[in-house]
Amino acid sequence: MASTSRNASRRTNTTHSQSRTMPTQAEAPQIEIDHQVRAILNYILCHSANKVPIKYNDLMPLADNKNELSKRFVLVTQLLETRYGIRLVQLEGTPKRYVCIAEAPVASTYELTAAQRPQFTLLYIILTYIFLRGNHIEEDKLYGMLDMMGANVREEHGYFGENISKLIEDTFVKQQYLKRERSQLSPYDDPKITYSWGLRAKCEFTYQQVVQFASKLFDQDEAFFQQQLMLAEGMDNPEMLQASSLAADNTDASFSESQHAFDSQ
Amino acid sequence: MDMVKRAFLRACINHSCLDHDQIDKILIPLCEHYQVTKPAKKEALHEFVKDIEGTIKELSQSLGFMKHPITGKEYLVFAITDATPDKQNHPGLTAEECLYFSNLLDKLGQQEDCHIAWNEAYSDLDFKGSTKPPKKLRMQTLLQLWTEMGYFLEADDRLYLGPRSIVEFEFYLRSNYADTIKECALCKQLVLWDIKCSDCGRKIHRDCIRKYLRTRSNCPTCGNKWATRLSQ
Repeated sequence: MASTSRNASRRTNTTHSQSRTMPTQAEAPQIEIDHQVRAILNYILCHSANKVPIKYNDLMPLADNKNELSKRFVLVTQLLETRYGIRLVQLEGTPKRYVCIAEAPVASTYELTAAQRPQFTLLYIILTYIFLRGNHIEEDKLYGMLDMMGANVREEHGYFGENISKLIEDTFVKQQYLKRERSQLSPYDDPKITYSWGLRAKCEFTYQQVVQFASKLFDQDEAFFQQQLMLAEGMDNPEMLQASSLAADNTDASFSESQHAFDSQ
Repeated sequence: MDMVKRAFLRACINHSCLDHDQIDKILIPLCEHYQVTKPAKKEALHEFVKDIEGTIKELSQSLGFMKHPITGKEYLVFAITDATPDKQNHPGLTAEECLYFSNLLDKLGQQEDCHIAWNEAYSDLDFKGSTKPPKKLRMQTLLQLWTEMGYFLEADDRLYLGPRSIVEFEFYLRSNYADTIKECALCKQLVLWDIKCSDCGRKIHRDCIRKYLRTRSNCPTCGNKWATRLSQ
């Protein structure tokens, strides 16, 4: 028994020295990489492929009991971060769910498979449009924009594939790229559906990247989108909101200019 | 450089199987972005990959190069060590779709020469009496996906086991298809195609026998003079 724990701490020390972001508090220091840890990590890794949130409870069968799972889960989180650059982010609400988010955006679309690239492009366009509209856009306006670009969501598209509406309403929302909200002013009104950036989009894309993309798309200087940038950052950081409230007054004006530029594409 | 290694690892996991062309396409912008020198020569690249593999080996994963005997091309394969087809790493697939994968693997494993005609991939399939077998279009989509992932390989209108299957299911194939899939007498790894001895019929890796025949002239299995041409 004694020798096992000596080996365990020796192995944990190796793990410690390999990683750079290991917390210094005694985070269950005796946990070694055993087959349960491997099973949990591999489960998370392969379920992260389709980007759908992982339910914590689904990990239960992989460990002996709740306690063992929670101890190993901490180690798995650290391993994912230090060895794969994957962060496990907990989503709001119950039951407990997590998403795997890469520590950095892809450097090129070659890191994606051929099947993923069209979706990525479509997502980029949608996120850019939402960003330019102050991070809040009604579904019919979004679909109108896509239709104008030649990608009618109700029709099959040569590049983006069939069922674009399912991709947007279902897949991107489940993957946490988009947030889809329903609001109804009164029982007599039609419900309004609006889209905004989801948690994953906020982690995996930067507003700066979107501004770069928009400036290429509209052939405008990046400074042209300064107000939208300030507004978006202000919404994320309310203390900056005062500065950006001034920008918000000008957003509509600059948006209609960019919309005009968009129309002329 | 660590960020580059991790990003490259994530890309490898995403693709599951990469050829050298794809590797370059990924590494060039990645290294540029992080302003590090891209591993240029083959040895440097192998070192780079070995470093990454060192971080995942104890987690039952492997990342390494393998040369596929049919195309002669080298592939970088990410695999789960000693996986089996039923523990498929394919969440989001129905049970029938997973069965389809096992069916294909089974068909290939049972063939003496481990390949089938492309249309055999859609016929004589056993879905264990399920009422919801996948439609042909879906099977075609899945087959294409699995081929891109390296589980299968298409060449000359025939379907072969791909680089990832050979690496990942080495143990599974060895145990379940011991009649058709044997190991090479020289390197002890599984040999599926390559070349056969004209006398005893045992398969052997072309590269292995080529090296061996530099100093000997008989078949390592039956001992008779090696008569088969090593053409290619």
